[in-house]
Amino acid sequence: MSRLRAELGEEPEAYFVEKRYELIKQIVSRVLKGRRRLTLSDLLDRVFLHRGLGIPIFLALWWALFRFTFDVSAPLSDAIDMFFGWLGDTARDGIPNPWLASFVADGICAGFGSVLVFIPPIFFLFFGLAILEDSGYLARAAFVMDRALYKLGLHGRSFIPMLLGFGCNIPGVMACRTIEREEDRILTILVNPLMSCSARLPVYVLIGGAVLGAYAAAGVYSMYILGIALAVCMALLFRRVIPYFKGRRSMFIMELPVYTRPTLRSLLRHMYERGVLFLKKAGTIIFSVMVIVWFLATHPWSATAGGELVENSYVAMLGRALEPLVRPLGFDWRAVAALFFGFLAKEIVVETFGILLGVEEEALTSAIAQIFTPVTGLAFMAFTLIYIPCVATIGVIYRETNSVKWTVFAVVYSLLLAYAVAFVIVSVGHALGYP
Amino acid sequence: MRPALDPRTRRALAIYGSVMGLAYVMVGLLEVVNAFYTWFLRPGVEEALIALPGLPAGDLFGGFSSLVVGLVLLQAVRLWRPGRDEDVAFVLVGSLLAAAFGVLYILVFVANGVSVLLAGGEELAEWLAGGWLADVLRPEIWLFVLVLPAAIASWRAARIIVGEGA
Repeated sequence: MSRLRAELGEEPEAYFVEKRYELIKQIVSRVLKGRRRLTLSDLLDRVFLHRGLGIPIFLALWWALFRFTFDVSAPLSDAIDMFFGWLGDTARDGIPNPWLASFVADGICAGFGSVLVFIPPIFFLFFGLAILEDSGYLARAAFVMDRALYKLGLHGRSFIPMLLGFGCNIPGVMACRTIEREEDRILTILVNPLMSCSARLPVYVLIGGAVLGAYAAAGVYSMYILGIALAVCMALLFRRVIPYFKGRRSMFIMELPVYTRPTLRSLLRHMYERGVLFLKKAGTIIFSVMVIVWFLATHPWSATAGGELVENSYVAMLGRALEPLVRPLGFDWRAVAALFFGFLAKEIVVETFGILLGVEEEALTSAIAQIFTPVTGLAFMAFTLIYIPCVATIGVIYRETNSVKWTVFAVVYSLLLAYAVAFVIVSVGHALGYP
Repeated sequence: MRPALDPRTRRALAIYGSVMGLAYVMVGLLEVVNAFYTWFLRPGVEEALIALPGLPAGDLFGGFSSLVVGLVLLQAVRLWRPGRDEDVAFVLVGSLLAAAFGVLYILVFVANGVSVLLAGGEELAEWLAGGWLADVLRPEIWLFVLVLPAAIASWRAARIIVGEGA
């Protein structure tokens, strides 16, 4: 294979595909007379695949998707928020045993409710993505981004796994199997967790909504752009610095589907299939961790005065032990405790705040605004985006790379990068005059 | 021979598309300038530098998106010269993008209304007192309405070019 590659001067796969299309072109020109009739897809591709406008169009559509996800779903989230607030109050008033009342109201209702309010934005995100995918645009986006990705050190095929990473990093990492060259595959696996998965969205929505006010949607969008930019930068850096990744990249070949008008039924099916994963996770992993966090936040029971003084709890002890490490970033012990539990699943960051702040759903946003400024809030969002992939993703990284070395590397570099980026945000924000 | 557009339609699309493109570029630029001012020059200040009804104070990415829509529509100018019928695609895609953002801002307006209705109290009173006007006056909503004729005309033109229209 390497001899063939050397003789052809390029990847054999690319060579054969090119030759095949040359032959098809020759046959078609002999058999058919006159100019080929244009299709609607040809016309649309003149614009969507335009050398100068293709990427700006992609970014504009991506922004529209986030406004749709964040702003249009807001009333549904508000309704769920109000329902869980009412449920918690009812439980607290109706259960005579204080321990059980705290468990049901502060553990189950507050914890579970603070995660479930993010079902609407997650379903809206997947609905919007389904429109882009079913219409045939997403394949064009991959094509348009390939040019940029290739120049920036990533393989063209990296775009699809990275796009999947926006839903969940696990299928994103697994989709890297389509990249044949091992070095390209491992490089894409390493940067895939920087794609902002749907589990991080609740954190952005909560923190952004609390401290960024009217700029919340812009803050959320910035996180997605930051994730893409960092993935590209890290790929470029790794390729330059780590000898293992040096060398020629393989070609990206894909056939573009024709544009189609998506049907509502298929859009709803796609939205449900992807969104239901979040629901299942909320009902299993998140619920179990939520009970553990509630226990650690309300015990020792006597020291916390029946869960009232969370600053005397086990979580507070853990948070305070780690606080000096993140003090330069403006985070307090509650933030560090939330990040600690977020390692298990990123949604748990939100739920941990719900339990630690001991407030009803509707008051969580204003309570968060007391512990973060716009700058430290943005830094926290960036930290959540970048630091350690969740435990399930780490497991998949190990399985796909079959290497402890690369798995540990993924964890360590993301943690260091998260710290560095958050520090830069805080420093620049303060220098610009933001509190 | 590929089917061709009649010169009047072609030129009308070139003029209409370019004018709409120019309008989007201007709105986009104003929004970007406002956002740059409130994000970087006067952080924390919520008043816009250019205060026009419906023009947001700090929507940097919204401004960027309007610029993109405008730049796509401006390519319609190519249709002025004969033999460039395929460039009707720029008017068609520009109109599609304008429609996407127009519908999006209408949905945002409705969602804001439902949210304040659920919240009730002061929030609702504030929104009814004038907050709704800022949402509904968003320039992209009205530009989308103005772009609709171009969308219909470019769709018909595209069908003629691909041999499906009359």
